[in-house]
Amino acid sequence: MDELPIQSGDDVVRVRQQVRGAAAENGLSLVDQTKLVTAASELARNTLVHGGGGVARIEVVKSPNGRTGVKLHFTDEGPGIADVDLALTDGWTSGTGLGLGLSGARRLVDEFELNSKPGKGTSVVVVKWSR
Amino acid sequence: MIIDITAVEIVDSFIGRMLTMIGSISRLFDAETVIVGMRPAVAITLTELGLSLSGVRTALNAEKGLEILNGKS
Repeated sequence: MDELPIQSGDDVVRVRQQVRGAAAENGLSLVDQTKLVTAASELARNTLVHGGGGVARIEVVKSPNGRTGVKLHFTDEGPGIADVDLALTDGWTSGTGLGLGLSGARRLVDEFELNSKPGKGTSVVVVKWSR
Repeated sequence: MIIDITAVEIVDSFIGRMLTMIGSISRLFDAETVIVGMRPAVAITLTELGLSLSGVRTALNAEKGLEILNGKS
C-alpha cells in the first residue's frame, strides 16, 4: 500500500497522478477514473489547507462478489471538524471556497466515511468500485 | 477570451473557482469568457460535483467558441 505525503500543492498533483494510475490499472472506466481523481483532488486539498498537511494512502480492494475497487485514505492531525454534518452540507464553507469540496467528493465516490475529532485530526476513506 | 481546456484531465472546485474568477475579472474589461474543449468525463464529473461555472460560457471547441464571441450564436 502506497503512502504519499501531502505537504504542498505539488504533493496534491502527485496524489492525483497516483490515483489516476491505480484507477486505470484496476479497470475503472474513464468517467469513474475522472470522478475518483476529482474526489481525491478535493480531499487532498482539504488535507493540505484545513488539516495542515497529512498523508494519503492508495489501496486496491476486492468485494465479496469479485469486483475490484480503489480505496483512498486521507489522514491529517489538524484541528478536526467540529460539526461534520454541517461540513458535508452543499454550499457551506469554512473559508472563501465554494463549499462543494467535501459534499461534492462524497457524491463522486461509491463509499465515503469521515471521522473527525476536534483537536485530533480528520480521516476520510473513500472507495470507487469497477462496474 | 477563449480558454481551451482540452488538455485538462480534471476540474475540481479549486480549478473551477479559478475559471469563474478569470471570467468575472475579464467582465470588468467588458470581455466575455468562453471555456472550450472540456472532455466529456470532465463535464459529467463537474455536474455531479455541483459546479456550475457561473458567468462563463462553454463551447465544444475553439471554432465554436469564436462563433459565440463573434455573436453568431
